[in-house]
Amino acid sequence: MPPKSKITTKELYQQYIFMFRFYFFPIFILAVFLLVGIFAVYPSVTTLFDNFSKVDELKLNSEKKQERISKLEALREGSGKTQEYLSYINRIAPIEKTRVTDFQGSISKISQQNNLEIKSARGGEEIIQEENSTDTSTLLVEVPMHFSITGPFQNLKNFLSDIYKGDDFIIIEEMELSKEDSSSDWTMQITLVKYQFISQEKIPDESGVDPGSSGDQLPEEANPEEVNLEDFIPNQDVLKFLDEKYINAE
Amino acid sequence: MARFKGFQFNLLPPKSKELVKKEDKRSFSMLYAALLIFTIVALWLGVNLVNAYVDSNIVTRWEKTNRDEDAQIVSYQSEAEDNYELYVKSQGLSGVVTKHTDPDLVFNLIDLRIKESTPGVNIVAYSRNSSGHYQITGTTKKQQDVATLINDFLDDENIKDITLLSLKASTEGNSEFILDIELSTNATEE
Repeated sequence: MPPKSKITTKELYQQYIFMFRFYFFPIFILAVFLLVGIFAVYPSVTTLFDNFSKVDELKLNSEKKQERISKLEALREGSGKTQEYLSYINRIAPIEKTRVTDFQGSISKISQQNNLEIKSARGGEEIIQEENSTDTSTLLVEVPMHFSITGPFQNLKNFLSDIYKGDDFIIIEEMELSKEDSSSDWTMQITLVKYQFISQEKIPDESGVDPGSSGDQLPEEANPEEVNLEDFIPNQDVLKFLDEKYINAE
Repeated sequence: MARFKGFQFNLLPPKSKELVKKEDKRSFSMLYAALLIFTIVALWLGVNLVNAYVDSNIVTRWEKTNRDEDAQIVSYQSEAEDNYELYVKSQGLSGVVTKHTDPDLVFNLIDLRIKESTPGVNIVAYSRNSSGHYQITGTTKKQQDVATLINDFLDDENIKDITLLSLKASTEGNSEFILDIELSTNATEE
């Protein structure tokens, strides 16, 4: 074999130039491939996956909304009953200005019907709130009245019974019935309580419309978009009470 | 690749075998490169087509479904508000309705028990405190009546939480005992 000639730097440089020119087109195409891949295909694929995610999200939202609609349909089916319960609750504890005068008047009437004498009467007002209640928009107000009434024992018993059975929802909070020493009459110290709901200042609902006559609002810390009003389950004991005491009794 | 060999008179020196091999290899490389470009462009077009389909059909359809469902939900707004109003008010009244009992019913029950078991006991006071417990104060000449009465109350399933608060001799010198009994009841109207 003939001895290899020595390659000078110039020849090496010329070789590189040749190689570059020789492979320029394939390299250029590869570069174009990569550029198209990075700047065109990759964003398109990302957008495609974003769209798939969006579809998944929309599907999930739709499923949740379907669940809500099912619940709302059930509520619409039972709306007659709900209205009936509400009308009785509004009778029991109305949303009106304080009714102390009316309350005292109705007690006086019942005592007169039972031939009893009201020795004294005094009243007041106290706001009570459920300990675990998150709703501060509708407050339950207690309107207590303290009475001192005297009369025959049977009449006093009838008076208590009339209060219990009457249309007006009045609670006998405290009571002390004792026989008077000097006569056959009995004296009754009694605290009767009437309840009413009062609504605080109103806030706009989801649609920006005033919630309406009820004055009920969402819980303070709740975001309207996160709270579904149909998810709140009314107290079953109270509904049972309304059924037994008023609805089924009529 | 086929090569044209018609002319043998070329002023340029003939290409070396090595160079001819390299040129053949480069020709294949260019073919691959062209395929590469075609593939990437086809992929890009394909992805864009799928994207356009997904965007214009599937996404739009689901967005419309969601909008329709929103409109449907809004149409149920009044029922939802009524439900919430009922919830708030029933929660507010939950502690109240349990207090709504008829004291007359309890008095009659107590009177009946006393009349049947201990007619010697004379009730002089009835009371009810805010916790819902009833208290009766009575007098009797026989101390034994107290035990009989309490036993009788214990046997009655409508009377519970019976506590004898006090039993003391009357200070009026009439040899009577005064008793205070606290109880609660689950008696209901029939």
